[in-house]
Amino acid sequence: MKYTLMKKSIPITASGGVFFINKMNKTKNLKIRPIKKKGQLFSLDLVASVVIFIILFAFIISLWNLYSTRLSENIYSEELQLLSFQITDLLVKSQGEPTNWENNPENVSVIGLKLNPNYLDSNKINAFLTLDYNLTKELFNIERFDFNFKILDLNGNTISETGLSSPETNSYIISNKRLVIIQNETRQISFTLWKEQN
Amino acid sequence: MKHYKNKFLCKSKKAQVGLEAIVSVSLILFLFLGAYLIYYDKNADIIKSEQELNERAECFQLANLINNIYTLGDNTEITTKISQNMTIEPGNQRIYSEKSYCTFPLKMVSQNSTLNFDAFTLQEGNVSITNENGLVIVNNV
Repeated sequence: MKYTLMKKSIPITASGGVFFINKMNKTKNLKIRPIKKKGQLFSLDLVASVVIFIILFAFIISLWNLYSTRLSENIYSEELQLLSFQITDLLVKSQGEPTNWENNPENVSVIGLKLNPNYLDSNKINAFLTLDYNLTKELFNIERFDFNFKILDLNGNTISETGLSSPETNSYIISNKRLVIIQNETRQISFTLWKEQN
Repeated sequence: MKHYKNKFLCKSKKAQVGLEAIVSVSLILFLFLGAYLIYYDKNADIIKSEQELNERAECFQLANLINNIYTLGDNTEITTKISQNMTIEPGNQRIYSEKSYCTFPLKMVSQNSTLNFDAFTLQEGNVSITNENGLVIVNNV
């Protein structure tokens, strides 16, 4: 309840609240105009400021959580990216262990396809393409992920591939392509690594 | 002025703070206390994440070096520095630090010239990574 002070009013305290007595009427008709007895617990400006504060705070917290999620996604894709680079590097730049592993693919320790720098051995490629999918994942230490390996011509047509077909949506997916020479022909190799989102 | 026998019955001359003010101040104090608690929790999270990210970055760096040394071939050697103890498990192809870990796609890693897949710990400081006949040897200098 709003109240206004009358001019020349003087406050007096009496049981039950504060009253204002008009000086002019002091001697004649004593008019006492009571203000609201109940205390005003929440003034409007306080309530408004608290509400704004809470809304802003909730907004900041939700923004924080959003960025935390983005950070963990980023960390995850960074790991995928690094593994993908390391694996393609291993395939293109090493001969594998043992170096003639293509003769006995079941006993391979490290998969490598190199014949000469930037040249890939077609026998090793064939052995790699026929290698068990789970064994390949175990050797590359990517059991948590799925992969696809493709050899493409320069127009992007697939010549041969191994692994699962990569999902188009709804997953963390990293694809790595590089140019190599196989039997004197320039080819692209593509290694795709992904993890399905739960 | 009326004289009271007991001075406590007399109304205090000091200003009376209204209930409204007390409630308002309490409410604001509670709000700020809640905000501070949330800040404290998030700050602890940030410190933890920062430590994890630093460890992870160093782990990735070591994993990358191991991989590169292998692909570069025999007799390649590099010395790097690590700022915390790290445990390498060649069998699981993993590198562990205190609060983080990372993986590498290679099994041919050992602490000495024999490949035995035993886990070993690198102390913080300089670390040498060498390729000897296709085996990557990682050891403290």
